[in-house]
Amino acid sequence: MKTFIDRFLWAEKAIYPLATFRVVFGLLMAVSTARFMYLGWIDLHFVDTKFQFKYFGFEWVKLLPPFWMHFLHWVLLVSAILVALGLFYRVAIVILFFVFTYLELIDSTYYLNHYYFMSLVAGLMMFIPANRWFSLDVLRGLKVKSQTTNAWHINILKFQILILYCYAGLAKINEPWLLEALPLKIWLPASDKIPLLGSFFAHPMTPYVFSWTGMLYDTFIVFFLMYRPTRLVAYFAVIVFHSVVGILFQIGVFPVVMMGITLIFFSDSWHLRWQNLVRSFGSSQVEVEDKLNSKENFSKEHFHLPSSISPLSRKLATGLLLFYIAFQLLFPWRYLLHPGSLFWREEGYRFSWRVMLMEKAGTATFFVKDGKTGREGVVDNREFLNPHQEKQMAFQPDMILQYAHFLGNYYHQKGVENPEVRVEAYVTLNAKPSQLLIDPSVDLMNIKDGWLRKGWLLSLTEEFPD
Amino acid sequence: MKKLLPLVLIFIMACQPDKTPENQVDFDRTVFLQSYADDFIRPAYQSLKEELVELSNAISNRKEAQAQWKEVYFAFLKVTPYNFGPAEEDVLVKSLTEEIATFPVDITLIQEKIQKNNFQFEDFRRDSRGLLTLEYLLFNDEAWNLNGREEYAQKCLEDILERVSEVDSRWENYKNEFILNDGTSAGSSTSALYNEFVKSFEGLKNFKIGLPLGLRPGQTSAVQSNVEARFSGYSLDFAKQHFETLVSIWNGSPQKGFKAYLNSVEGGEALILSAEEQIQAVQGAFQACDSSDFSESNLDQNPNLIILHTELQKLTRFFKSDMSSLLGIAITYSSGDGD
Repeated sequence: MKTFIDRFLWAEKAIYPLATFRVVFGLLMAVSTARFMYLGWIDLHFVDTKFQFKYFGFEWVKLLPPFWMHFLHWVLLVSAILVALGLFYRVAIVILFFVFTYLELIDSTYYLNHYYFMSLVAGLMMFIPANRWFSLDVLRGLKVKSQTTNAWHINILKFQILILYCYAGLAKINEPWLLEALPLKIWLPASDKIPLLGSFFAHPMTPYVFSWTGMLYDTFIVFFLMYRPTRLVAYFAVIVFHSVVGILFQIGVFPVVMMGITLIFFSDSWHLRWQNLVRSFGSSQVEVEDKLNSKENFSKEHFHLPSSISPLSRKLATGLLLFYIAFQLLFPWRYLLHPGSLFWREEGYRFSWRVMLMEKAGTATFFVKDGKTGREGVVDNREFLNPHQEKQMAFQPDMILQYAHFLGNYYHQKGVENPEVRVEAYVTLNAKPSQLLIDPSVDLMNIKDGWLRKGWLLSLTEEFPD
Repeated sequence: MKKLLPLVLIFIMACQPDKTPENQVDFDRTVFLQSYADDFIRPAYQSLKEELVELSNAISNRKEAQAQWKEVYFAFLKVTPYNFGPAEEDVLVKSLTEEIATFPVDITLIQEKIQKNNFQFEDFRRDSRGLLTLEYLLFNDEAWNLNGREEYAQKCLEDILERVSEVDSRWENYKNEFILNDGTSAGSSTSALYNEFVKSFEGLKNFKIGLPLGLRPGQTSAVQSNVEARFSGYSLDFAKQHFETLVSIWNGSPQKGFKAYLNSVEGGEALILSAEEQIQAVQGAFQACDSSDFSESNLDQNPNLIILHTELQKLTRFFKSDMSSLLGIAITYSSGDGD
C-alpha cells in the first residue's frame, strides 16, 4: 500500500498531459466566462438581485457593487487566458481560483456540479506547477523547463475526473432512474421537435435506453479511458454522449468541458505530438525532443525522489493529498446519515455529483403574520426573486428557510411586529402530483438550519416511503 | 460494456409493456402553436383593435362611449396573457399590458396634463394613459366636465390604438417564427406562452384581488384605489373575464391545446382532474361574489373576495409547477445552465 501511494503520488511522470490540461482548462474557463458576460448574466445574477441564497457556512460571502462584479469577470477572463498561455501562471491560477469560487459562493441558486468541479480543479492547480512545460513562462525564462513532474500533479486531476463521472453514475443506480426511466421519460419527449433525432427522442423505448446507457457510461467511462486498448473508442463515446446530451438539455459549455478535460487520459506521446505541432507553427526553430519523442519513456514510471522537495514536506504533502482524496471519496455519501428520501429532503444532495437526476419543481407561497395584530399577508415572490431564484427556492428546503427568514426580517423592518412566516410549499417530484414539503402551520422564524436532520420537513408519501 | 448491452435490452423490454397509458397519443407542438396563434391570439388582437376603432367613433357621446369602453376592456382581457413576442418589453417600451392598462391611474397628474394640454404618452408615467385613464375620463363626473377632457381622451385612445395596431401587425410576421420555434426550452414559443399564462394568472390573483384587498404582508387595510376599474364598477366582471380568458387558454382548441397536450403525457390526466376541480371551485367563488364587494365600504376583510383569493391560491400549483414538470417546459426566461 505504501509503495502504491508513493508511486501514485511521487513517481516521476512525463509532464505533457498536464501541460495540455492547463491549456484546455484555461481556455474553457475563458470561453465560459466570456459567454457568461456576453449573455448578460452578470447583471441577471449579480446586479439586478435583491436577495441571494447562501451556502451553509458561507453566509458571510457578500455581493460587491455592480462595477466590481463586472470588473471581477474581466479579471477572471484575463487570468483564465494567462493560465492557458502559462504566463504568470501561479499568480493567474490563484486569482482564478479565488475569483471563480467567490462568484460561485454568492448565490446557491446557480449551484451546478460542474462549477463545483471547476472550482476544485482550480484549487488543485494552484499547487501544481503546470507551467513547467509548453508555457510562455518557460519561453520567457521565468520558469525552468521540465519534461517530468510528480505523478500526483496528474493523478489527482484524473482522480477528480473519475470521482465526477463514477459518482454521477452510481447516483443513477436508483429505482426511478433505471426502472421507470424517470426523469428522462419526461424530458425526452419534450425534445421531439429536434431535427433528425426528434422522433427518436419521442419513442417510448428511448428513455430506458438513455437511462441505462447514461448510468453505464458515467460509471465506467474513466476506466475505459485509462485502459489503452479501449481509449480511442471510449473517447469517441465521450464525444457522442456529450454531444447528444448537449443537444437535448440546456447545459451550456459543459459538454465541451468534458470533451476537453478527458484528453488528460491520452498517452504522453499523443500530448507531445500536438504540442510540438503547435510549437512548429509558433517558431521556425522546432525544438527537437529526441529524448522523449520516440518512445514513451515515462510510461514505465520509474520511481525516484524529486530532489527539490524535503522528506518532511513530502510527508506533509502526502498527508494533505490523502486527506483530500478521502474527503472526495466520502463527502458525497453523507446523505446516508440522513434517513428518508434524499430526492425529497435534499439533505446531502449538493456537492455529490448528482447530475440531472430528477425533475423537481414547486410552488411556494409565503404567509407573513403580524404577531401583534394577527393580520396575515401573502407574499408575491416576484417582488424579491428572479424567476430562476424562485424556481430553485420553491423545492429546496434550505433555500425556503433562508427566504422565510429574509421575509421575516424584511417585513419586521417595514413595521410588522414579531413576524411569523409560514410556507405552503407544494413540490412535485418526477412529475408526480405535488405534495406539501413543509407543515404549513409551522412558523419558520423559529427554525434554524444546520447539518442535522431537518425535522421540520414533511415526509414524501408513496413513491419513496420516507 | 458490450457484453452488458443485450442484458440491458432484455431487461428494458421486460419492463416496457403496459407502462404506456392507452390514451397516450402523439402530440404535435407545431399544430398546438398554430392553433393558439390562429384561434386565440390573432383574433383577440384583431377584435381589440376593432373595438378600439368603434370607441373612437363613440367617444363624444358619454353613454355610448361608456358602453363601448366596457367592450374594449373585455377585448383587452382576452389579449392580456399574451405578453410575449411583439407584445413583450423592449428596452424603452414596456409590455403591452403595462403600456395600456396600468392602474391605479394618477388622477392629479391626468388633470394637470389636461390643463397644460400635455399629450405626452411616451414617457414612463403609464399611470396617466391607457385604458384605465380613459375609464376615469369617461366614468368620473368631475373628469367628464374638465375643460380639454375630450381632446385628452381622444389622444389617449389614439395612443392605445397605435400600440395595439403595432403589436397586431407585428404578429403578422411573427406568427411564422412563433410556430417554427417549437421546442420546450427557455426562449421557445411554448415556454413563452406558458410562462405568460402563469404570470397573468398570478397577476390576477396578486394585483387585482390580493393587493386591493390588503392581503399583502404589512398592509393594514384594503386599498380601494388599487382596484381595477374602480370608476366604472366593473371590477368583478373584469376579474371574472380575466380568469375565463385563462381558462380558455388552458382548454385550448379541442385536441390542440394545453389540455390535450397534458392528456398526451403520463400523469397528465390526473393533473387535469385536479386542476379542473379547482377551476370549478374558483368559478364557484366568483359566483358567490357581488360587484359591490369591491366598493369602498365593503372591500376591507371582504369574506367573498378572501375566499376567491384562497381558491385562486389553491389553483396556483397546478398551473405553476405541476404542469411545467409534466410537460418538461422551461419555466425561466433566460436559459440558465443546468448540469
